[in-house]
Amino acid sequence: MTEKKEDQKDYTDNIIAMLEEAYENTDKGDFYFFDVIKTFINLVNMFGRSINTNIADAPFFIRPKPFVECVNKLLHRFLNRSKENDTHKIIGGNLKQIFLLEDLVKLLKEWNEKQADKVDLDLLNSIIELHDQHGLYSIVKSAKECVDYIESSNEDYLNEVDIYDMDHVFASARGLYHCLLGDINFAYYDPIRPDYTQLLLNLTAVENAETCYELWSLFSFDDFRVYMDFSTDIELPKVLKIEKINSNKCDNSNVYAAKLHIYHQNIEDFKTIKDYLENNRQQIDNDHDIAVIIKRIDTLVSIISYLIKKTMEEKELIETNAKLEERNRILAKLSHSIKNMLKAVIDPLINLREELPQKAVVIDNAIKGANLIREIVNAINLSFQTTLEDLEWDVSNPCTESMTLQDMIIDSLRFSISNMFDTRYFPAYSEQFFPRSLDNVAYTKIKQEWNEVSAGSASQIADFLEKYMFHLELNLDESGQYHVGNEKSSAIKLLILFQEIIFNAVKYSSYVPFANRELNITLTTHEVNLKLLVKNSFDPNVRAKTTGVGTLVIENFANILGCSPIITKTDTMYLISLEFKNLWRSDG
Amino acid sequence: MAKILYIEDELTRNIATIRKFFEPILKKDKRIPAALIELENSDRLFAADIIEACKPCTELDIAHTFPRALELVITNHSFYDLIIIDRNLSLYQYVDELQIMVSKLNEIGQDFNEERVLEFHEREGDLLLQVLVRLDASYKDKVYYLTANTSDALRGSPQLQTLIDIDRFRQDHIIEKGSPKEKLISDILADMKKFSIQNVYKTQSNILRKHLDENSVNQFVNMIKHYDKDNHREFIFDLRNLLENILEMVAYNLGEHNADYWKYYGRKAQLQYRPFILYGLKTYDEKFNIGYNAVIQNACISIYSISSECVVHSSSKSVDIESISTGNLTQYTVDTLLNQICDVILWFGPCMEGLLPKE
Repeated sequence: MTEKKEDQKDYTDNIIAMLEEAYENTDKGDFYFFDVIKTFINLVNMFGRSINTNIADAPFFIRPKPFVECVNKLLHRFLNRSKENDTHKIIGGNLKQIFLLEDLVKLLKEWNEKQADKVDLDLLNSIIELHDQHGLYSIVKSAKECVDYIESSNEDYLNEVDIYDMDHVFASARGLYHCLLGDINFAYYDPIRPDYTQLLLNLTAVENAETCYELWSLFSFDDFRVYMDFSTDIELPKVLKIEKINSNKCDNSNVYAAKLHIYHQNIEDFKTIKDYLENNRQQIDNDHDIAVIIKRIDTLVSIISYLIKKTMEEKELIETNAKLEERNRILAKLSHSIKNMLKAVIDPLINLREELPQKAVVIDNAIKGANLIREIVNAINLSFQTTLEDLEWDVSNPCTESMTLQDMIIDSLRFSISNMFDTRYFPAYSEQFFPRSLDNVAYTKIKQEWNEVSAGSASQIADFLEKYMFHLELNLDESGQYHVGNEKSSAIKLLILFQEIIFNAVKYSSYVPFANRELNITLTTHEVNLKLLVKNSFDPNVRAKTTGVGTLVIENFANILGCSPIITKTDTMYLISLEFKNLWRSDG
Repeated sequence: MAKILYIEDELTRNIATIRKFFEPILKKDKRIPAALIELENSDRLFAADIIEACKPCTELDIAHTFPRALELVITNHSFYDLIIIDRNLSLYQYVDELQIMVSKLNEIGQDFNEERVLEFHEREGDLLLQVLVRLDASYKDKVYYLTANTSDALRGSPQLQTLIDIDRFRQDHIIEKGSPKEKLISDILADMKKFSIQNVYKTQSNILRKHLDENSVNQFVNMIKHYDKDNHREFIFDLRNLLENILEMVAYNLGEHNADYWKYYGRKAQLQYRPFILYGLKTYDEKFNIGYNAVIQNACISIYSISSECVVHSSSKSVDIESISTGNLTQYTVDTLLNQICDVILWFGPCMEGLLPKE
């Protein structure tokens, strides 16, 4: 027993504080906490006061009891927290993390065997169980047991044979199993199969694999079948071990289907061996070795089942992404076609309006409807075609057609307000601003006033809105100086983006009582970025009828600008902000 | 009088559709088309104005909000012969009325709470349909469902798919807006009476459609129309023709070409109805059991004899209808004849199923 010396400092409280801090910082990743426990267990093993250690003359000591109490307390808390949040999965397939847990369990077992103050291992096991999303921990543990068995039998073997005569096949088999856990240290440099053909092992890939999926995907499981009875006294019939790599070729051109086909074949093959062992148990008369082989089979089948699951997930993900890409491609193409076809509708309507002046209103409405469709598809179309280079070009080369960002915002506002007078296409919002109870005379007067004001300045528009619709605040900073050319359609594209955002804000502010309605548009310089912030009053209970096109267009444009729209909601306000590189500034 | 419920939230941009769909009933009151044209030319219109303009037409109810649609469905469901539902009714907010809607649903024993109602956001029609078919299974045939995208409608709604799977709703009643299939609704509205009759006599219509043809269905519908209008002569004429068509179809499918009930004029065979009714069918039934019993036999002979007495004969398919004498027919007789032909058709269906080779 190591005795405390006078000049040794008690570090227990420091260690406990650090442990608690690690627990509080689990945001850094849950493994950080377990890693710290492992480090401290090692440390306490070395410097624990009641532990028989050779470092008695170390400058500090740690009292195991309070340390263990703290570990148990934190494990308990961790478990409860995990139970409360059932989506919290930590064993996601990262090999190192699984090994860390496995090491920790082993370390704590050893601790408990030696120490009077026991760590509650049940707590750690419960945590692992709760977090082991795909049963990976148990698969890795089982694989490790298989490897450990091989190692122990290897020692026996080495005792029996001259090391220089060590069978290449034996070494290859041992290496193969080690590689299953990502450990290439035991992999023989020139691995071979029993028939002296080369065993293909990509050791670099094995060493670099980070996840179980990455690692296990590297193996042909036929190889394991070849060595299935290795290190046991059982000799399986050759027909069960025959290498099938070449015969496993699948005609299917889809790589995932081919992979899955092979995996299912592997499982079938292992099942055949298992059946053989079960059926010939009496003749073989070696329960121990039968159990060893069955354990290997069960472990490998678990691994292959995991691979099947992950392969299918990956296949689905790739298919989903491909579908999404295809959808976008079709959408972009389709919107272009629709736009062209709409022209074939609009032009005859315009002619018809000339020929039938008595039907002018009806025809105008039809033209307006067709134009609305055109605007929607135009927005989709352009949002798919934009590139940052185009935008940069138009910013650097503003031509005569250029617009300032400020103009775009005011124009978007005009567009949005005008639509609020359109009872045919936007009745729900229009009715909120100008209800049916408002008589036609008053309505006509307001509309006339808007017609007069709409072409005016921002302050005239704001005065009108204040009087009839909502309180408007504009803070457009120096954006009046930022010109965008339209040679590559950037001006129109940005205008569409602003329109989508501002139109949404105007529409949804309509559901709030007049006195509380407000719209705040800010475009300010924010370090090297420009920040557009549109804030509107809204009723959180209102559920919009939406096609989702607006969102798609905003997201596509934002993507090009290298940002994502950030949406924040309070009980009364809806806020969308876009912060993108200020292309107009030399430091932007 | 047939009654229709039209549920559409985007009324203001659909005046042309209303005129197209409902012209046959709206034109009965000249004020309505005129008012709709005026609204179409107006630059300020409200859904409520359109409903107001159509109000003189008592055959048509219009709802433009989800709560109003639900109210009409719950209170008036037993009156409607046709309901046209636009699937997405989310244009007008209804959050404030959720509680009332839930109470109404609960009152009729439908287990909904606010959360469950909100699950139907942007597919409110699904809920209406679900409520309707629970209230009355016959709505399966009376509801037409309008949606922007037919395949999306089914993909996005397990409830709708389930209703179709359990035969509570018909997939062919889901119509894509603006598609040529919309004409189906115009056609129904052009002859609402026919649509109602086919729904009332659904089994008979289906049997005739399956084992005879659409013309026979129309003949049956016309027969009912004449019955409703007390046009006995036309009724008895259609009745006799229908009976003969049924008997001929059965006779051909019995395959007894040399039987006594066939009379040959050169290579042309003519069915002898009376011997066929009295002996041919009976004998065949004794051997092969085609469900031909005294009720059906008497119904056939009754229709056959009475129509003959009214001077409608098998050779008189082109007979001058004016020559038909129906003086002896009382309303009781006509009622009986109608019931009898309905029985005969009910027998005809399973009989044909048994005679036709199994697929």
